[in-house]
Amino acid sequence: MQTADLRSLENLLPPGRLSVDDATRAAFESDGLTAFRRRPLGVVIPHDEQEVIAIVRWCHEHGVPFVARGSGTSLSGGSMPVADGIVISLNRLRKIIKVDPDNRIAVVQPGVVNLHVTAAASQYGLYYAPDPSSQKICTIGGNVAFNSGGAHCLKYGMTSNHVIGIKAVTASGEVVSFGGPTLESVGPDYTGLFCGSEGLFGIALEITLRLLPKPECFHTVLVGYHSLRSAGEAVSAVIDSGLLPGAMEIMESLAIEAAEAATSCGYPAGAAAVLIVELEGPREKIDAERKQLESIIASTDAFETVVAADDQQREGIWAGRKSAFSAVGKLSPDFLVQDGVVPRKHLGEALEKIQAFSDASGLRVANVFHAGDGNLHPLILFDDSVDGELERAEELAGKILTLCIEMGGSITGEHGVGMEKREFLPRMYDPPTMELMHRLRAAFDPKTIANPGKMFPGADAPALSTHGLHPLEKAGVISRE
Amino acid sequence: MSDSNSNAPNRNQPQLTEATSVNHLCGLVRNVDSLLVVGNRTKPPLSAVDSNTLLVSTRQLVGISEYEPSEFTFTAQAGTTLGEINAALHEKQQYLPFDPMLVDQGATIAGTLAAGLSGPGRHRYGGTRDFVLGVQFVAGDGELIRAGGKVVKNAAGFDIPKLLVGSCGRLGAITELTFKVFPKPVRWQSYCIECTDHTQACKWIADIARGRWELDAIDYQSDVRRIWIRIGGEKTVCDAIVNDIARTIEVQQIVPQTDDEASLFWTRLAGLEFGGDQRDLIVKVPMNLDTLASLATWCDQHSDSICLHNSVAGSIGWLAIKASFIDQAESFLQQLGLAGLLVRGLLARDPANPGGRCLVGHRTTAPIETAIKAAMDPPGHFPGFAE
Repeated sequence: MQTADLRSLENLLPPGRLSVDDATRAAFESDGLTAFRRRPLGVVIPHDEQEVIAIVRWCHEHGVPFVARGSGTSLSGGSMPVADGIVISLNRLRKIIKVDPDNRIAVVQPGVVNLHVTAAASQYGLYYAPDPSSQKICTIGGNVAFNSGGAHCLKYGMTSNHVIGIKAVTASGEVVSFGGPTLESVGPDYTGLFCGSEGLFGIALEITLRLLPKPECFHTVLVGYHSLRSAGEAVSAVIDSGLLPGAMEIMESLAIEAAEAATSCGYPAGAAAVLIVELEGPREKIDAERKQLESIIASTDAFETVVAADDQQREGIWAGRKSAFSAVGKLSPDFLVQDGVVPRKHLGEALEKIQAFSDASGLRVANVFHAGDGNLHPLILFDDSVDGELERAEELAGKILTLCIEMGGSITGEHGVGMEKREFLPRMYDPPTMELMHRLRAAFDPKTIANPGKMFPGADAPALSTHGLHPLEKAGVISRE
Repeated sequence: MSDSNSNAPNRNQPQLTEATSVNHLCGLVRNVDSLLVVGNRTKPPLSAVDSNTLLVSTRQLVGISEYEPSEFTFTAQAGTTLGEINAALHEKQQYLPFDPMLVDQGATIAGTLAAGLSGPGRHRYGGTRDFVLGVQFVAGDGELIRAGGKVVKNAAGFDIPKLLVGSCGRLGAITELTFKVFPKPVRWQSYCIECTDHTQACKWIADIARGRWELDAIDYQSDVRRIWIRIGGEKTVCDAIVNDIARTIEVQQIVPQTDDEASLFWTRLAGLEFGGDQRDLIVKVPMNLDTLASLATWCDQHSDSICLHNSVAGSIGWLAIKASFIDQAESFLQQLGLAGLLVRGLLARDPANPGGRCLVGHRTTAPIETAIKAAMDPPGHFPGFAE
């Protein structure tokens, strides 16, 4: 397929939808995983779902690969283009079709920004719970494709737990409706299957989301520890107490220092690790639970405890946490981030081994993680201009992923497999399971034209490019979990 | 059927055999032309198939193989009863928040997932689909599949565990499941609100469900126009919450229920024991508040034949229906654009569905569903849904 062959697609659409100029194609050649890029044949920006359907059917008819994308914040290279295909940018499909406060649902188009759903629901006392760190800019379509997470997954689950209906066009051009405006359905949960399919099944056109009542109160506690092990033990103590915090996060010293430098977040000086615990709920319950939490924290080896006195202080604590990765990223010209998961009981052991891997490789690793659900985010710092450092960083990342698998965890908790971790999926699942996944993909996409090269190994590796912060991270618009 | 000597079905009823091991089950799936896995058959309509289909029970595949209270996860064999699981979780003050149904009747964990049933507790944290983490099952080609994971967060690969929720054994034979669990509240408190009519009930349910109070269950007994709410926590805390609800929605009285009253109500609901002996069909109907008043009013008009209990703040309708009234009920559900799943009582067999059927009301099969079925079960060893 050549650029010139896209003429019939252009004729199918209103003028201006298809761009094949270098500047536009270059703008879409990468996503949040800035290490890799590839220039597509063209970029189509449909304005409504009928145009999306027409484009997908054209792709199916002509065997042209397509990559659907929203804001391109994927950290696993999940929306990286393919050279012989097109990008379908869904940002113009950004209508919030309906907010139904009585039934606590919203129906949105895929290009709606995550945080805009909460903004629309807020007047009814409702919000959309999944909160990936890029929620100011990432889109619901992308969240659905990669089953995005956030800091509150332990209590509220991931994106798929909040998606109850999907209207989509499959890669073969069939328009399907799964689920609907009710929490339950009859028959297999196709909605659940579609969530997290990484764009390999087709494109979501309308998504029905479950909304929750906004928590009335937050009780946010920041605790400093002289060792990572003590912070980990505090997490276990909270879990064992029967409390169910909305979030539990740990940052270690390198990340603390960087976050402090970036945001002056007031984290305890000299801490080897800080733990953030946040309770949320109605005031009557939080009044009781805060005393319980206070007693638990007092029984740990904490050397400093800060309780957020107001929203401003709470936001400051979270600003430090949410800025951690981009802040650490500024300490080094380049970095890689992983998001493997280990059982909580192995957190301490996993962190010790990651430190050993780091020592052996000569590369620094900063750890920030969702302690409540064992989701690690080791940030591997390196300098691509130094011969061999990239290779050492990738080898180190691979060791961490292998460790997660060996400990009975997962290679990804919330970023998805994408292009980045596709070689590791068969290490997590055996051949019959991989074969079944291929069959399921073929059911939606017999020509394998939807987001090829993602999730499954075997496709050509794209060109490596410069590493470093995503331009939006540099601008402080987004940050990584 | 390839191995017709030992398991040849007679002409009237499907034969039932038991899988003695996962390997045995794999062999059966490979070698039997048509089979459907069942647990303790607490939802008989889901296994209403024709006599050419062999029923294979997993009731010998039992036991909790892993339980890590500190991880909030457990793994159990398919035939493990909910009773055994609840008892093990209770020892560690944990629970399955979606409030599984038919516990006292002997329902199994795999049957619960395959039926896609969730109880009133679904309201707070989500349903069966939201707590399943991993599954081991036999695909239609006899291969043992291990999908999902055993940790509470996992975004690797397609979410096949969720696909199997509600699949009623038509996509695979489940052998093992991993679930997420939560800490269990120290106590539960239940309260009732009397409503003058269904419209008022709908408004109050909507107000309560989107309020700040984070209730654990909101159900509605439509025949007596009574809302039930359940809150986890100490009585003083729950009473304070309820007083605020009463002030906010301007209801004169929210009546606290004794532990015995509450236990009787929720246990009977969990056992789907309502509607009386005459209304012996029980149908689960996914719905919402838009259709609640219409359906409840219609049920009032035919109260000798049908009764509605609404659960999960409008989201699930449980209909108890006299068997002779199923055609009228189905016709009305279709008018409302609703579909249902028959979970108790058998429909009369008809020439189109000689084994019976479990789907009720408005539903069509899209081509993609056929394609997914073929992917999960290439040789077509599991029956489809009769419609």
